[in-house]
Amino acid sequence: MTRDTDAIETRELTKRFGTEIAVDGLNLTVDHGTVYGFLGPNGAGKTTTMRMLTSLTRPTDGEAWINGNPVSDRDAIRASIGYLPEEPPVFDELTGREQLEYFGRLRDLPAAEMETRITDWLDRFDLSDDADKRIDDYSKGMRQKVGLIQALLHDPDVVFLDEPTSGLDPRAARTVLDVIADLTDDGHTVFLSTHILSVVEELADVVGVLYEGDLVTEGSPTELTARMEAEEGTTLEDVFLSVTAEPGPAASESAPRNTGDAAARQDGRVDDDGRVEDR
Amino acid sequence: MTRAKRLRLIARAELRRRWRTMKGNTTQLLALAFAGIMLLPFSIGGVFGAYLAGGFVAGSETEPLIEWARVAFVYGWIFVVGFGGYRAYAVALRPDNLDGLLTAVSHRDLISGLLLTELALWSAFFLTVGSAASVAFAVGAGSLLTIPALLLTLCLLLATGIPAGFIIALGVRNAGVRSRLLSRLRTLFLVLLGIGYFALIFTNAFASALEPIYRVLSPTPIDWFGDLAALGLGVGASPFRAIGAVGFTGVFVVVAVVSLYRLSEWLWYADGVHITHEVERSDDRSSRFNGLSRILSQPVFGVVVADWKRARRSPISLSFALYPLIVLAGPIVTAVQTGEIGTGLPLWVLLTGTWVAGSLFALNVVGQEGAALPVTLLSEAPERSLVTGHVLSGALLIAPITVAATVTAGILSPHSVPVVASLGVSALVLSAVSGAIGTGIGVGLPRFEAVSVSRSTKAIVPSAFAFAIYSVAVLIVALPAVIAHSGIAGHALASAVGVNRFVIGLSGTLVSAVFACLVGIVSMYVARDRVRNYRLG
Repeated sequence: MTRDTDAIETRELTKRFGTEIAVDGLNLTVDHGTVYGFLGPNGAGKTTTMRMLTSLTRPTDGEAWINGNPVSDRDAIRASIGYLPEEPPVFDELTGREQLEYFGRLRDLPAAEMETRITDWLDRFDLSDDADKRIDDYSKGMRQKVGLIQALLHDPDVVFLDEPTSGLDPRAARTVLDVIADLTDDGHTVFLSTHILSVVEELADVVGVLYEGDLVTEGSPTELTARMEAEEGTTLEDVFLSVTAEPGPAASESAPRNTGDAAARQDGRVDDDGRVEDR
Repeated sequence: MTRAKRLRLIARAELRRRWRTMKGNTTQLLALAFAGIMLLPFSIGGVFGAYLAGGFVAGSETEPLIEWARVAFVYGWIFVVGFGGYRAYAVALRPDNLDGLLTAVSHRDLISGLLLTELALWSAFFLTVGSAASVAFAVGAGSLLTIPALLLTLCLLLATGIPAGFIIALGVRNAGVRSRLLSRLRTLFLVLLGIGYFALIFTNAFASALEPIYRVLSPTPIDWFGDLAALGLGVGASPFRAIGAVGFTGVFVVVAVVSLYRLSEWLWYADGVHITHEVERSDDRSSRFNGLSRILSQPVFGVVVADWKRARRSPISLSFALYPLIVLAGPIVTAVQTGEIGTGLPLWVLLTGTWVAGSLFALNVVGQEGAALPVTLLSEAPERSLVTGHVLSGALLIAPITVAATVTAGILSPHSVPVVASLGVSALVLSAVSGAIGTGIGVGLPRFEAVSVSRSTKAIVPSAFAFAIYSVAVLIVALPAVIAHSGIAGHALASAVGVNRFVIGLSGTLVSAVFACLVGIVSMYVARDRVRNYRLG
């Protein structure tokens, strides 16, 4: 890993499906050892962005790098990334332990080290007692835990998590949040997509809100709430609702949309109507 | 809303849902179209046959005819109960969104609505073709009174047979959800049932299997339906038994409805047994797979072990591999019936073994990863581990069986020992390489979505097109070996060229082996390239 590069960097990253634009000229940078909270309503393009950043989907335009390596070169980035897709990547016929062994072997981890790591992670996620039961007997939360462990098993530098607390009970969700916090303490970078704003508020160093393929606002949670220039008690939820609101005919004129320039957007502020303006 | 309207609404919604599901499934639509095309000549032939039967009845002795009518309607009733029960078990009793339905209507309304759905579907065929056949029969027999009598009998047959099928299906499903043993052995029971079904087909033993059931039913009022149908034909039908058939139907329907209410309540509100599939933990490297783990790389070993474990725990997901085995059933039955193994059987074994070996795991390399695909693609060199792993999974499992079975059948056949040896080499090479042939075809035509492999089980299986192309490819590749070892062609070639049969056989083996290896290498290259550069969208 080269420390003089950002953990994640994108430049005009664009994905079109036919005439439909899923992600439109995305520019962002994520520092090492930070959590980037990636917010957006359903269908905003979050999963497509994650797939492009993990080399699973080819961008239509633009570029992206992980630790300075282009995402077009999967071989160069695969060892340094871990990915938890929205749907837990599990085979129902295998047990939790067998599933993790499968991924461990595919990652070519040394056998003894793989077993140690699996045992440790299963303990940490309170899955040890159920590790030898078949996954088709697992609850949604247990499947999610297995999916999360596989993303971390090979100790990647950059972890992409798509809704990691989905389906988890409060205690399990708390474990996940603690794990994410520990990861960044150890210098890992986490790119976190979620709908649960309190999770982002608690963990994220930087928050980016994607809306209809555009990064409509970006900054630390504190900065974003401050930009609202509203009364005390403004939350990230208020910011999210305002920047992702459908603009009315009058408002749309005074609310220029993302032009693909992240710097300009980062300097942007939220107007009195709660919409992003360029300075 | 009145109860009758509610039932009609449930039935209408269920019919609409099934039709839309079928409309979205090209394979099912094609199967339906094929069935329709096949049924049309049978239906027309049936109607014409009914006319001829009517004419035959008009000019025949009366005594055996009424017995024939009784026998025919008892067997007809068994047919309706059997197929109605099967459909109830597999389709009707598994409505979509059961919880939602049961919170909106009572279980009594729901089971009645589902029963009405099935009655509507059966009536659509039974009463249209049945009406035409009844009229044709009556015209042939010269007795117009037979038309209403036959139609009424058909209606009564459905009114009693379909609910009887539902009761049996509900009984079986109730036993299934309550019995730990039945729940555990469900797959085994289904496999045995499937084997029994095909055994009956191939041995033409349906009649003897149904005879005990007929003997049980013939002393019951089911036997009276024949009298009702034959009323007006003047063949000795008993009017009392005919009236009894109508009365019996009334009583049966009342009892059946009460039973259906109770059984459906038991099923849908059951606290069924919960089977937890606990697997004894074992270190794959120090146990059964010890030898393999030493030979194979860690990622390839992982794929092979996962393939075998998944297949063992969900064998029904490999049910498509039954198609080649069905092809093999014919020659085996012939061998059993004649008591002789000809020169052809070892070739059939070789061909089907090769066919199965390549289709089991290698024919949908990308698709069968399912939800794990994004993560698998990010692993170390997935193109190597996935493609090689899936090819080896099938080859290591099936090639030894194919070689052993081919050689055994060859030794028991008139083939000479050298020719059997050549056949064994063919079996080894072809069954080891067929997976490689399948990989490229499979990645070109992947299937990602789970499809119904039985009425109640969904699994990701290779696409029908991939399977068809792969089957043709395997057949072409194996053809030189098959021709060279076949009795007639091999002998003709040996005579024409003036060499020993063994030389011809060995030449066929060599040609097929070289051909198979070339196709396999190209196919694997395509597969590896596709996996290496695979993108999700």
